[in-house]
Amino acid sequence: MSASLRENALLGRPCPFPIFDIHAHVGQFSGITGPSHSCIVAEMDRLGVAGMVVSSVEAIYGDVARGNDEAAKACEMFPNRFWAYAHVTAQQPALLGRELERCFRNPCFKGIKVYQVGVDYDSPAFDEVWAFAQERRLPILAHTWGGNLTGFDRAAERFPNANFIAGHAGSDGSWPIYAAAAKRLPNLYLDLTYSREEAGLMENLVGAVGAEKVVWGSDSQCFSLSHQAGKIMLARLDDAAKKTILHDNPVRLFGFGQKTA
Amino acid sequence: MSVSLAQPLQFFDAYCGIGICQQPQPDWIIEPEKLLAAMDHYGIGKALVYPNYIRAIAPPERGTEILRECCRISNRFEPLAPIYPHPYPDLPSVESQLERAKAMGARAAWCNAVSAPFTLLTYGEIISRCAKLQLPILVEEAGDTIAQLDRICESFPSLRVIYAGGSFRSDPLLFPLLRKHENIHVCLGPAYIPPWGPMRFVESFGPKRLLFGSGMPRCTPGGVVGHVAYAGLSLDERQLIAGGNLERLLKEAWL
Repeated sequence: MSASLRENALLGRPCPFPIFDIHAHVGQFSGITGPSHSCIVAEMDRLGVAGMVVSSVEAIYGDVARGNDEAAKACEMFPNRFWAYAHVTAQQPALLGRELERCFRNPCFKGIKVYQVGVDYDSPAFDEVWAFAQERRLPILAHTWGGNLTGFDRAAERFPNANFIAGHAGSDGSWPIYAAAAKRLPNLYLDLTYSREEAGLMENLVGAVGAEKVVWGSDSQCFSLSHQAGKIMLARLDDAAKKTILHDNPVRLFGFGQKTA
Repeated sequence: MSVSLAQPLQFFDAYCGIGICQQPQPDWIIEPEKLLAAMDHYGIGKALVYPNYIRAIAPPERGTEILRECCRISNRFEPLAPIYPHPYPDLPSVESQLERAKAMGARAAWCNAVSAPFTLLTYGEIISRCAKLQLPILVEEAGDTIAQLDRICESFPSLRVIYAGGSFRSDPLLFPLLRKHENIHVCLGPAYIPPWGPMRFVESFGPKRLLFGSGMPRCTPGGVVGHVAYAGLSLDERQLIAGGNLERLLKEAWL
């Protein structure tokens, strides 16, 4: 009988199926110095993380095109391990469509990343982004926090054929708000990235919405990849739910490789 | 580097609350029996426990009793004895509190900043005694704890400190403190989870100053267990972080 994911984690063994991390970064946040790409890939190998989708820290803070290029460069350095989000911001409306077109000429871009700065996600300024995603079947990851979806759920409702992923779901004790939104909207998914592991958060979120609506990300470069993986591997969930979150959902949403048996 | 282990690490949790408290949340595990079951699930053998009861301004004497009662339930619980500064002579002296701690088998003290801010002025007498006894003290981040620790450890360089409650953004403040004061140790977790695992810390300070800390009952320990189990460190280094360093600190106490 094969070991459970919990037993694997306690022994520091890589996950027996490929994990996909759908929320990670390249670049450095101020005061948080992450390791080199090589160190990240070594940590991915220890855990059994086959690939991660990264967005650029520089892009988040306004240097959009340069940041997206930085993400693409990381993908070139580590093909099939790093994939990229095209980061766009409604603070730079003239750049939205042009930047999306530019990025998605490169097949390493797998999704769109947006951040919560100034313009709510259901503002018409973002419609062009959601329409682009819907047309090309691209997942959209948004930074949200503390139950404040700032219109991301309303955007998901208006664009039902695009898949929307709310980042940091459950942060600051807000899991019921996220769970309610994900239950209401079939195309809204919840990302577990969060520096804290508040008691029962994994079990509550998955119990409320089902593993099919939950995806895993690490926020790597901001904090520990292994910590974020341990939250799921050791959670009081059955292994089928963990596999759905760590493998099946990202494969389905992002089109990674082939689903394992 | 492969990090797979033949046997699980022996975790000894340095940062865990136990017993009743004023406003427990539905998912908090506070009952000793349930806490033992949770420790089993997460591979934690033992825990240094403080009484949840006196994280608020509850009566400290009752908190100490609750701690004693909880620790009687299993020898997997090691008491972290609360030691309070008292401004009035008719309240328990530091000496009498240390005697009480000794009677319950405590080998570490909790300087809980709830009833008195953690400063050299307020905790000076306690710190002086703990330094002489090599009794490690656990202090939690309370906004200016790192600055206070800098002043305190300048006056009492032999004081053994376990600093808990840092975050993944603590290193710019924490690393200069650790360079300056070699007897300060750090709880890894629940939110002190800097990128690249504990490897950067170990590169700078070696493996003997990091201690596994779950943050229960407020937090679930799975992430921190993974953070240590999957670290790109040798088995010996990971075992020191998981529990060996705490074992050593407690063994060296003279109480």
